[in-house]
Amino acid sequence: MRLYCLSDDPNLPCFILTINGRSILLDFPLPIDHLLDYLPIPSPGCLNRFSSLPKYKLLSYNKENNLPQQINELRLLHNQLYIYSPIEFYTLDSNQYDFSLIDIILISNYETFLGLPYLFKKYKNLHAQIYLTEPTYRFGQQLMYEMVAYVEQQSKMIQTNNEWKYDSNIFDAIEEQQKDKKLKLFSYAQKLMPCYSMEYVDKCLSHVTIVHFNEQIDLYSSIRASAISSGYCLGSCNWQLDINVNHNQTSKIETSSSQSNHSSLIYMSSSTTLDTYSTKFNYDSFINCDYLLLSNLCLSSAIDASINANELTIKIGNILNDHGSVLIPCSSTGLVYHMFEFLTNYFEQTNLLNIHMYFISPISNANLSISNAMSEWVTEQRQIASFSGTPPFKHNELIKSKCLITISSDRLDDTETLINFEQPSIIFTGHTSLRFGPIVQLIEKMKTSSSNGIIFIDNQYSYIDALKPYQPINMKCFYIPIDTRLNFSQINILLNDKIRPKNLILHENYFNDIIKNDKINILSYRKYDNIKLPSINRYFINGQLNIKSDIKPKLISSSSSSSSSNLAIASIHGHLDMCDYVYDINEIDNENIKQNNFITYGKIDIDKFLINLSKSGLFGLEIKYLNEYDNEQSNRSVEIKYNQDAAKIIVHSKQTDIQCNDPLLMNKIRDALLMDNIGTL
Amino acid sequence: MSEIRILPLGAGQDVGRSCILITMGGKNIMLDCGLHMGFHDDRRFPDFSIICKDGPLTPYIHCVIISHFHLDHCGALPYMTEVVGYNGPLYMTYPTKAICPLLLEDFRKVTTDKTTQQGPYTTEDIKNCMKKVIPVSLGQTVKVDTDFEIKAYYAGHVLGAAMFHIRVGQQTLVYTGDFNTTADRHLGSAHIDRCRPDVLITESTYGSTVRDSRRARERDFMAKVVDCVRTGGKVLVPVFAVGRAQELCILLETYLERMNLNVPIYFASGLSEKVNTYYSLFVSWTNEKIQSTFHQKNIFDFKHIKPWDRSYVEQPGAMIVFASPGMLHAGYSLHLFKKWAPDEKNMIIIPGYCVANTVGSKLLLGQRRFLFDGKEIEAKMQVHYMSFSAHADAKGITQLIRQCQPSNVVLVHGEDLVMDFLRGRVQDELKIPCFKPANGETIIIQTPHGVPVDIEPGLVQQLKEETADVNRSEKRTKQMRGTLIIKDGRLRLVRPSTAMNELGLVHHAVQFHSRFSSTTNIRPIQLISLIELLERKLNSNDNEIKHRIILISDNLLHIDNQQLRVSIESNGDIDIAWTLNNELLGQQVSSYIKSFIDQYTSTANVITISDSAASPDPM
Repeated sequence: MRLYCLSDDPNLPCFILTINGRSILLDFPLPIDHLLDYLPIPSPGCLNRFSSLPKYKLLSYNKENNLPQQINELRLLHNQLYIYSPIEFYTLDSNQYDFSLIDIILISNYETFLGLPYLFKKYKNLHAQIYLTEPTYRFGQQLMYEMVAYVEQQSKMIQTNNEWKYDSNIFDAIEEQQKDKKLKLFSYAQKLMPCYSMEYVDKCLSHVTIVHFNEQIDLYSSIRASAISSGYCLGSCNWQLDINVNHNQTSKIETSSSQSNHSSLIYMSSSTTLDTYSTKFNYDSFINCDYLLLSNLCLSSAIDASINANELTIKIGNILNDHGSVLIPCSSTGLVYHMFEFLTNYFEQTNLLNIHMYFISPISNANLSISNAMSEWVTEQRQIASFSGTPPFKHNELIKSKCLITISSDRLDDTETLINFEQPSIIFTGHTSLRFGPIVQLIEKMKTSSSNGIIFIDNQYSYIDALKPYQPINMKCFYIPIDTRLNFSQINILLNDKIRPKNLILHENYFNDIIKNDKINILSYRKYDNIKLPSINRYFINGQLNIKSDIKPKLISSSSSSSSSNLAIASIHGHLDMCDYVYDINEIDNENIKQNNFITYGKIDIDKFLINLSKSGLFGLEIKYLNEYDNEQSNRSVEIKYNQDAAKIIVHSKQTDIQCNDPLLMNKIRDALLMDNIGTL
Repeated sequence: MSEIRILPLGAGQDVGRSCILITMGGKNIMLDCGLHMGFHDDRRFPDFSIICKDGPLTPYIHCVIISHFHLDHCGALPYMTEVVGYNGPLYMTYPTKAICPLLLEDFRKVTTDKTTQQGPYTTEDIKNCMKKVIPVSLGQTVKVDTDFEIKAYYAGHVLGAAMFHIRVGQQTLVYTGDFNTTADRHLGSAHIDRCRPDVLITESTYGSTVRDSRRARERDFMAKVVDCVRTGGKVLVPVFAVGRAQELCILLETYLERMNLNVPIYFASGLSEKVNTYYSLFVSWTNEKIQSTFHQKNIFDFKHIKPWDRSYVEQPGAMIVFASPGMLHAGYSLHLFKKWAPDEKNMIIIPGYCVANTVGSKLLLGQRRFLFDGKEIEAKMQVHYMSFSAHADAKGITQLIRQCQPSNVVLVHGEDLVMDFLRGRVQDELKIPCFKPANGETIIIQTPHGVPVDIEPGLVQQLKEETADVNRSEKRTKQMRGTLIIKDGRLRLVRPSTAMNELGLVHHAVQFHSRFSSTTNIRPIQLISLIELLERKLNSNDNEIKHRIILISDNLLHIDNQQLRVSIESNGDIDIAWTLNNELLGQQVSSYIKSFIDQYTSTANVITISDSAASPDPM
């Protein structure tokens, strides 16, 4: 088993796991850390104040070095270099690996799903089956639509060309001119690709197989996968892979002992032990697993989601009381569902009346109706609601009472200004990078008034950097991240007290924060590491016994062994056949082959043996005690002779030799030896 | 030999009151707990006294599984859990758990005597019963107990209908509940894996018919409805409030929009309109098309279909009314039937199966005169029967059997004659044993499974090495010797040596020797020549097992991996040693070698004599 690690960011997990010659891609998120290098672009119909920024001038321009005089796609603002073009992306796949060889793709949640259309675009021969839960599929699809829609709008606003990216001389010239060390944006600039189109979203989604939590999926005859709820968002899961399972026994349920014949690998991503709105995090089946691959922990351990949630309500209350509006950059799915209800409760408690919450996104309506149809994927409490015919979320009620207003129109042009927003209001919209989407013109509109406020609940970006192109701003600005993912203290408790994996695989950045324990073998990885996972010995193989005749087991009272329980043993003779991955032990039907087979153990009781011999008519035995070092009576060796040298028997403590040339006599001696004497099995 | 016992308490050679008791691997499982629409006394419930004369059922039943929300599958549940008494696990799918209480409550209202308040169970009973239900998702493997799990598969039929795969230890069983193998306007088609269960219990409602296509049926239905309303007639369609009702509503909505027909459509049922919202809450249980479009348009938001009001019954002119229940045994549909039956302009279309003894069933059998509360009514209205029942037909049932490949098929939920037909087909065409137990009749199906055992990898490895260079037929004759250790209910098969080690036993080897001393005056016997002899003697016979004879060194020879050794000692003696259990081989080899030596000695003697004759005696 090997693990190829494709990402340098543990919050952007991407791995290829190779088991028994099959390649499994674990997640394929879309990196968006570079978006802050772009200039914001508002929706069509709005004033684009960034378009008037001067094009970047190359001072080293002259006729000889063939450099352009100025670059339209690069602009300087607040002495920082920004890209002025529609958003483009890079992906995590590397040329070191042929991704068309991937057999299976497992997706943890909709956040780690968004890069996949690129993969299907790039690798025409990729036919891997994608396994994910229904909410992951539906929301992931919507988020892809949203992304495509936003980028399409951008390209309506500005036309650019990409030539600058392919001339490394330009990079050198700019770096020299900026007196900057290495500019980060040049490290990925050449990998950037235009956003995928709907065609590739659909192509990618055509490979999807929808699974339920705890559904056992036979990927290949010996690999079984199950999605186990991770609690983070609707349909989010951790993947459990059972390796070397016996295919035929659909699932051999764990027996009382902790031993199992297969090894299990858990791929853990974005999990939370907090009570949110989705099905609870379930780790019962992870206990004592062989491998645990850990990713996507909380970005900063200092965050306490519940304290921050309280602070958030206070800040919102203050701004609203100050007759301002609140702008909350957020993703169009996930936390927002919880926010609507959480804030409504708060308003009711504090008597803040007639507050309007706006949810602006091209997919706002679709997401609200999808979330309400996912009644099998919410917490038990919310499920109870759906059993009595009410949707699991209160969106519909809120919309009816005008508390929540969705604006699905992806364009809010300047004519439809903020005046149309009924005050006081809270506006939820994206994108969280503040570089595209309705948020761009909303900031432009709202930033002038100091009574307004913007609150960052997402901690993926530095809010200072995110806001930089908009400076100067008058509006209040708060950073109250709400990140529900497991933090280090939570994961340490889980790992050491509950799950106790045999091998723990994690990113090197996590290494120092994990409490070491000599029972857990920790492997840390970096980008492009190809780790060989330590192999696990198999304790036993599953088989089935088909013996029709009676087995006569012997009861053995265990005096020596520590376990007090009784056990029985029996000798089994039969054919051992492997058939459909199950070992079958069948009785031998051929009587000739069936011999009297037994194994002897223990010590010979000499006196009994001698009596038995004489009972069978062997008289006149010559008995000689052999001289041995051990004086203990029981360990003595004896030589017995019959009728001169007709038979000679030497009894040692661990072996008896019978020498005789007469078959009949030999059988008599044998029977005398085995009768009520030595233990047989 | 293990076995599975099956005892139908209802739905054995009958439709209605589905309740099948199975026993497998020591677990007693109840599949469905329905009521019979044709009876109004205690016979409508399954006879639970078969399980236990009186007192709660909890100790006798390990788990109850409900396949879908139709009353003939879940109607007796509150009676069983609350009145008779059952507190054990109770499984149904999410939509079933949501919709089931509505139907139970509706049934309770209809059957509870208004004056005495006597009824089968109370509202409180229904509530308490539903609290005991553990909801399951499709495909999810639910662990009921150690080595006992269930898994739901999509069954079509109605929203939330499921087929259940049950595994107890090695034994597996699939119960289909009611299913439909063809997708319709709002549901998908039933699907199951090739899971090769020991037993498949399948419904057989339409087991003897092959139905025409859904499209043709729909066209026919619309044509009849349009004909009737054009002449100002009223169309009564008795349906159950959930299930076919939604299917037909979608059909009418789409047609009306297209045909621009302006006739009022009403939906009369004791249930609130809420029912339709359940469909949007569990969209993932509908068909592909609805699922992929529901976030744009909710198809269950009907524009043209209005709720019924009692006053409409006297309203003149054409109208179309969906009224519950579907078998005309009570409620709105029966009320409207009484009102409209005498007018020949009107029409009734019965779109589903009617259980024997109900008005619907009598009407379909041709009865036209009915006595209601001492008043005779003659039904002059047109009567049509058009099966929109979402049950699989003969083709669909065989298709499902082919899909899942069971070892045995058991038929339930069908009429006796239909079952006979289907059983013939299953046995003759599919060559699978097929049963049709009657109510109260237990059938026992043998399931040839071995006992699960954990094998020590070393044992398999050892055998592999031993049989590495032999051909297939010899491999089959190769014996495995192992020791079975039975401890804490677990069986382990290990190498005898491992067992001895584990148990602290010391092996005592018993070795047999035959020794032939060589006469001093002959040349020592070469082992090579013995091999030839032994090969001839031991391995020439085709029938017997072949022995492996290997020459280790000039004076040592092994047969069958050290089971027997022939060695020539320094003094020229031949020692044949074998271990216990190889007496036959040992004695054979000894006798061959003995006669060989005898022969050798005698010929050697002759040679000695001739030698002495040839040379002059030195003495």
